[in-house]
Amino acid sequence: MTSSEEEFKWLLQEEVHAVLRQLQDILKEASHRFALPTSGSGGAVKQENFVLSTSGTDQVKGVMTLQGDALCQADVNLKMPRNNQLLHFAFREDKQWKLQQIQDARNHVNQAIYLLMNRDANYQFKTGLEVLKLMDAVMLQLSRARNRLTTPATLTLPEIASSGLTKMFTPVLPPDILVNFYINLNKLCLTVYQLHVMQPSTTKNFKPAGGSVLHNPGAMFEFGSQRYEVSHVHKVECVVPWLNDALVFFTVSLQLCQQLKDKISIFSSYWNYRPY
Amino acid sequence: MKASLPTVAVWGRTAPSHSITAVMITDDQQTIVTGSQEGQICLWDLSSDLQISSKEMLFGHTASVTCLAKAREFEKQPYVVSATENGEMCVWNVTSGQCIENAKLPYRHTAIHYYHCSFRMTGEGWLLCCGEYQDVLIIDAKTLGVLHTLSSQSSDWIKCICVVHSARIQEDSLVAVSVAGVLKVWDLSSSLNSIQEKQCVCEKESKSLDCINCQAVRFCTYTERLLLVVSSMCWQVYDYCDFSLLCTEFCKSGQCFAGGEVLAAYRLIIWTEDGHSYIYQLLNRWAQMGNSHKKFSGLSKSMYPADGKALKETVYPHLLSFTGMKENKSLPSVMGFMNERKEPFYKVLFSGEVSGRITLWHVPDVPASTFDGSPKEIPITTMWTLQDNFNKHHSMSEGIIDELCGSEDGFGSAVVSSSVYIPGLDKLVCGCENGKIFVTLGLETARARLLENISFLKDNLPYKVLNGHSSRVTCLLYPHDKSVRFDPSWLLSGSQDSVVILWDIFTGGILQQFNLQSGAVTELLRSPEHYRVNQSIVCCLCSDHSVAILHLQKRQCLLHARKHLFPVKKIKFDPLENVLIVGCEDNSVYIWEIETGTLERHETGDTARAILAAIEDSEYLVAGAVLPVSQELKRIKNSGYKQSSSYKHGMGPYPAHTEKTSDKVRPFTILPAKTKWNNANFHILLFDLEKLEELLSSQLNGLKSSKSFHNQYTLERAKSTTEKRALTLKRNKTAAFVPQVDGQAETVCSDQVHRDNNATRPMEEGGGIKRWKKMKSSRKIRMQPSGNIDVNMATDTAKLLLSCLLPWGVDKEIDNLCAGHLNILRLQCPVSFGLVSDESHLSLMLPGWKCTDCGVLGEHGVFNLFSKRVLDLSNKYLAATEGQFGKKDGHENNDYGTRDLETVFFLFSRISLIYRIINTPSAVTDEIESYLCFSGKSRYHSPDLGSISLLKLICCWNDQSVKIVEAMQAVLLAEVQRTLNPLRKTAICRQPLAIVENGNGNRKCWFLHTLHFSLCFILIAAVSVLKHDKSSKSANFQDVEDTSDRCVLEESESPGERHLKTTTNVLGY
Repeated sequence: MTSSEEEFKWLLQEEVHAVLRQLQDILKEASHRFALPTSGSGGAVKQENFVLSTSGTDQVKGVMTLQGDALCQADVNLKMPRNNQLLHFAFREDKQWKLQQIQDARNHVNQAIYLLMNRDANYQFKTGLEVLKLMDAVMLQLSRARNRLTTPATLTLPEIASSGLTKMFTPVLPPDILVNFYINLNKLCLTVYQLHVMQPSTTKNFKPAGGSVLHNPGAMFEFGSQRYEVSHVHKVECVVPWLNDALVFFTVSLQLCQQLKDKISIFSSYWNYRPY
Repeated sequence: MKASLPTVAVWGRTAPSHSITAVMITDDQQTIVTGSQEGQICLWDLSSDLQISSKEMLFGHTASVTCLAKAREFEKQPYVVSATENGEMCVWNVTSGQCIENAKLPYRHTAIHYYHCSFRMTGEGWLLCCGEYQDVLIIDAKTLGVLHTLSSQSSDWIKCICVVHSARIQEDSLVAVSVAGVLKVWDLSSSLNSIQEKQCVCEKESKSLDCINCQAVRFCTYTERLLLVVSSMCWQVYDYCDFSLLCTEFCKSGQCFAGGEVLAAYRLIIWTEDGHSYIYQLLNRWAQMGNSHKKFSGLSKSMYPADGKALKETVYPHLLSFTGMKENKSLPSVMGFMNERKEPFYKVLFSGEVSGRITLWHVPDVPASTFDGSPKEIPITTMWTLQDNFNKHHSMSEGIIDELCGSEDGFGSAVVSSSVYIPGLDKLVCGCENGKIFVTLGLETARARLLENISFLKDNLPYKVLNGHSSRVTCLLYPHDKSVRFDPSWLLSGSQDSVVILWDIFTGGILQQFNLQSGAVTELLRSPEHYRVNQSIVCCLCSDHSVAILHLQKRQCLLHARKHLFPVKKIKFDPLENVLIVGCEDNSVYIWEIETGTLERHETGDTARAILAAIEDSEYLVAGAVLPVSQELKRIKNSGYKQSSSYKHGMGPYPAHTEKTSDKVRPFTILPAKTKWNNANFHILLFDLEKLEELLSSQLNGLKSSKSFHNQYTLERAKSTTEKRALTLKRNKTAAFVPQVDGQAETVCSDQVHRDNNATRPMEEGGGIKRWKKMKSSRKIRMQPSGNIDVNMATDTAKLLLSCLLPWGVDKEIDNLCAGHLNILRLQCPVSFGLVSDESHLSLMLPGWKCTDCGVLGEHGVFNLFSKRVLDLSNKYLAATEGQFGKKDGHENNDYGTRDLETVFFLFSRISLIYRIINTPSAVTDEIESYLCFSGKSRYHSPDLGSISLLKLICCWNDQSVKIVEAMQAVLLAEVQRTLNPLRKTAICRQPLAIVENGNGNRKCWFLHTLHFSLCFILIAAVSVLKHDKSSKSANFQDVEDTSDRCVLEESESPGERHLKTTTNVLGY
């Protein structure tokens, strides 16, 4: 047995498990951030309040209560630019809005942890290939978890208009206002679109806007046989600290995974010759 | 139109890696279907005594397969659906291996359940899917379009689903458990209408179970009461009426449950992640105790019979038996259970491991514990891997150049670790594990590998060895075949020890060696067209994620970018800024200045995404393309209309286009392929039927029309090639592969005549070899001079394809005639035929396909017969078309060479026609027209007036789900028999020996005999003909055998009477 074979054996038997242990610890930390009701004993998940506003203007202000992956309370104050009229909406008592991005990210992390748990310290890796495959599977889950948070859904305006979100408010949202919530990186974002109805007689060329995270003023769409144009867009956001932590954990674990893969790959000339 | 490409796979000694991620057995218990992490689907034959043999491998998915499920009522259509990590879905016909439908949706499914309610649903049924998205999707099983979603109050991902069918209340429901452990129930039967009208369908019930990581949920159809929920830590049984918990059993430490199934009333089988399984009996006091069980919850943790007495009123599990493992090896595996109660079927527990091994356990109908009450072990019934098949049928799994490597090394053979085919030169370049690079001729190599008895070819297979690398050759690139910026003599190779060598492929010399010191070279990519048009730049990816830019002209490494933390995914050259943009797998972007070699920027997040998105629009290089099959197919498919551009070359910004089209004339391509994890290299031979037909017919016309070969086609070729010559002066020294330039045409063609004659008369090979050797020595290169490459290649390719299609040994005499007259040589072993079902889906037979079938026939010599029914089909075809073909005249006037070529062409056009008919059954009417045109063109054969009836027959076959290869083989067999029958007489005169040693004359007799019968009943429906064939065969076979000798004698008398005599003879008995 050559020294490099010896080294490879050590890598498989010792080092891999050390890295997996480390990965598990990091991911469990990340998973805790998502306030999972895993144990069942925890009962209610902690509620956190966030104030969404922009520094310059106070056209739109939102106060959100986030409980795990759900927005359980939301108060939106909107100052209409034309008449300085103040509008106030809040979630209905019986409703809460699931932030799908957070839910998906949480589920992906959980899947990754589950994959790692299946190969605990007792498990004996026999080939490097096995480790590579495991790392690939874990990395797939982690990069998806990260991508869910970093890439908000691109929605068309009719999709926003028809989403259940519009029906959640009391008093009912006026027909010329659309709202949308999403996560962008570590921030919880609220966008409010003010619309105006396009008259059929208008000379403007109607061109429906495609899907986008944030639509610009002037974007047009058709909804319920009525044509609308976006007149004002307000976007307010607020940093959610634990989302930031989670993202950092994801990045660190992805790097750990890749490093382990690289280490294994160095010995690729050995794992090729060792079938199961 | 579909790309029409029959293919032949040449596997290597090592089976392609197949890490099973999904496994299922079809309803008829004849096929096992597995999906792999590499993205391939494998079909395995399951015999009635539970023996496994690999059958076919289906290519098409680009990512790991996540789940498999049946996609139709199996008795009607043998369809299976597969889904992958990246959202691809495919419906496969597991009998024919064809891809029926495919789609890419933005959903990743982890479980699919086929649901069809015949009396209330229109269409082909639904696929109920769950996975990494909220709630349950309903997908149309036919179109794979999303029909609707089943929504719920608190949406979450669904982990597992099962359809509950209650006969008592005639209602189907869908039970699902979410990742958070919430059990949800949707009504299916009563919400059929609202689903079809796209109304919101919410769950009927929702209950939080105390289980996370739920793996399976199953309803007990025997009691119609129990619900089994398996989570990774424990399994639980609930009462379906009120969802109260009846019992819980935790798993042993270090194990995780992965699934389970209800075996019978109160009997369960549960399996684990690592391939163990346990059968439990639920000891039940339920019936007597009425509803008292409701009070009970979760107390019976790991209760065993001894303790059980104390808890009599509860349901508790008793371990009856467990399944055995091999050497206590436990590997991660996916498992399933098939519960069949009907007689010919078994209760089978099956598992597929990541290593690619399939294990079957035959579970007894009534599992029992041993007498002392301890659990009993159920032994493994069968274990099989792909590699087992490769080892068993080692002649079929011989690598494409094993011949050469073996002779070099003495023992064993060097494994090919990478290869590239150069279509323009018909050269196959193979890099080996030991660092050697072999350069051979593609077609000759393929022939030497596949055909029998041509030691002549094998011994004289010209090849060259490039010695330079000292470790495994990991990648090869011939940059010239896509872009004329590169010198046609350049070949690049990269190795495990980080060395890139630039070779002169013609001399075999090393032009430059680059030592990168960055780990194994993983990929060599040529720079995009528009980047510095005249510069020959190649990108080189290494295993430490670095990118090296090599300037081949200057023999210089321009830049070695080494900072990347993650594997490189995209590379783009920006000619304006003179920067290199590298996108990595973690979505970060590195921008390098090429001049100075410094890292200018490193971006992550939004900026990186914006840069990458900008790259998408323009030309960029992608690293890690797995199987190049689809690109290759597209390339060949496009060849038709791109041809026209070949004459206005040089003007456009991309001069490479003209070069490309010259390659496309080639009807034969070798596609090297590799699977993801291991280095199993295999080669796919692609035959372009249309192109071959075109080439053959032009060649035939050329031979026919005059002795000078300046027919239209060669003139055109000459014209185009002279133009090309002007373009690439460098190629002068390798003029060998530039065919038929005006002045040379005469001499080159005379060469060809000689070669043709040699080819048709293998008896007189001596002269041929001499000539060949002379020619070989006259060249500087050791390659075979390929002046007439197109023409010869076309015939050789056509003959090779016909060899691969013919069933050998059905009639020894016919075999000999084929080899003797047509030079269609016997195969060395059965071939792995493959077919393209649409532009990116490919099915390839694996070594060992249907080997058992031939044994059943009792004809030991027969091989390469795709299925038993081919013989019947062939007879049917003969019967249906007999009247139309009458006597072929015109043969007598021709000399041998032409006639044989003509026959080859005729046979070839037949199978090509069949292929077209089956591939586009909808366009039958067009096909008739085109066929009539076509038959008008080939004036050397009697026009087939009855081709319409032929079409009808073929379409009828198509309806009977006759496989395309079966049809091609049947027709070819029939046509070969028909065409060669008149030749028998002459064959006997010329080769008396062949007939004496041929004891199988009787074959022909019964064949003729059945033919006669068929003739009598030609008006009767095809099915009844088939029956007659069979009965007459069995009735008279004995007698025919006795007469065999006489038949042969009589044959030699006169060809005209022979037919009559034989038939009357047989009828006389």
